Amino acid sequence: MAGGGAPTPAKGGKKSVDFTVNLVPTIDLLSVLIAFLLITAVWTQLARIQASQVLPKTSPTPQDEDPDKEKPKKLLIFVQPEEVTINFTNVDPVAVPPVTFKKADGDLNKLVREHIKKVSSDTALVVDKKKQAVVIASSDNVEYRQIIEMMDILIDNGLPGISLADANVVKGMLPDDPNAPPPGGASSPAPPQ
Amino acid sequence: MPIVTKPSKQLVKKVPLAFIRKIADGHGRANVIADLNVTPMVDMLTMLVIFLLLTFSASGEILTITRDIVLPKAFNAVELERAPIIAISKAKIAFEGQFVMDATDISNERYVDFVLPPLKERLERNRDQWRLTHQDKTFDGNVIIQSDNSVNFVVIKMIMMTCAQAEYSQMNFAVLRTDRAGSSVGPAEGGEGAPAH
Repeated sequence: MAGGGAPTPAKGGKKSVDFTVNLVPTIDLLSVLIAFLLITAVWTQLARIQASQVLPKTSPTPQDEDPDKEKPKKLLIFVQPEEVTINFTNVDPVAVPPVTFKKADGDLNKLVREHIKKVSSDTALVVDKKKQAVVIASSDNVEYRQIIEMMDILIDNGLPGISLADANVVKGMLPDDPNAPPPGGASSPAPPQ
Repeated sequence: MPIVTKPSKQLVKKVPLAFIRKIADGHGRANVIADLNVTPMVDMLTMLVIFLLLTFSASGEILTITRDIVLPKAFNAVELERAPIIAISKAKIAFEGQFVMDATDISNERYVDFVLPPLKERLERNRDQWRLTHQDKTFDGNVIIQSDNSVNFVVIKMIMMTCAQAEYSQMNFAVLRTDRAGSSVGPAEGGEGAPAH
């Protein structure tokens, strides 16, 4: 049995072939291991999402100076408490108009998720996934949770290069904005400040 | 008397109660001394050890969860690495567990250049200390931003700008990792999928 460690004596004085292993040290070891692992266990699954920030430009880059060179496409998402606008920079605004989703239309996350999935599979709108090709601009009164939800949706659709910027970045680029540039002349986002 | 004796009825021989001795002796009835079968217990303990070893995190607890900071949930998140932590609640901003400034009166009008001077000073001091102790390494600029769900973007924006000014350019937003259904990405169409990276 469990407590035994010696051969069980057999009838007739012969040595028995049965041998019981002493399990008490095993139980001791396992109990100590369990106690140690329970004490050192981390039960909350904390993780991180990385992002960078759109910083003010100090001087024009060579790319800005060369008008013939095709500027890289960027996916621009403008988050407001009640609506989300999705736009592309450096694409024809007539062919690819900005799309705005409102909270009143339904689940905002679901609407954005479906649209991002659609545009990320469109070969004409492929953005450079290795570079910071997605900019999330937000108005000041948007909650942090909403920004993280947008970032999660973007990463889920294979767009991990996310930059954050403030609402000044999208000035002049929204459909109802009086400062909006003429069709075909979408410019690169203005830096904050 | 030998120190080690064979476990048997002798265990209760010295009990000064006749009826106990009688029961222990058996008198043809079942013996009160029974061996405990510990094999299922060892099985259970082994299973527990395997489960705990699988869920064991070697990095330990990097962030301290406080009552006033409720982290947002996300599915596509990677494992945390040790870096300086900026904790932001609705009321205050802390750096590495120490209070830095109030977060209630942060606005574009008050901090026109989007930089929070008390936080910038702490970040720069931390960066200089790191450089002093790691002279053979290049500064990676990693920082963890642990913010409450309901903090407004104006605060996050200013903290990010302050970090960038203090050369902390790699900003990591702490989140609570959850399954697909519990996050904004929604349930997978063809079953549960792995994170994108």
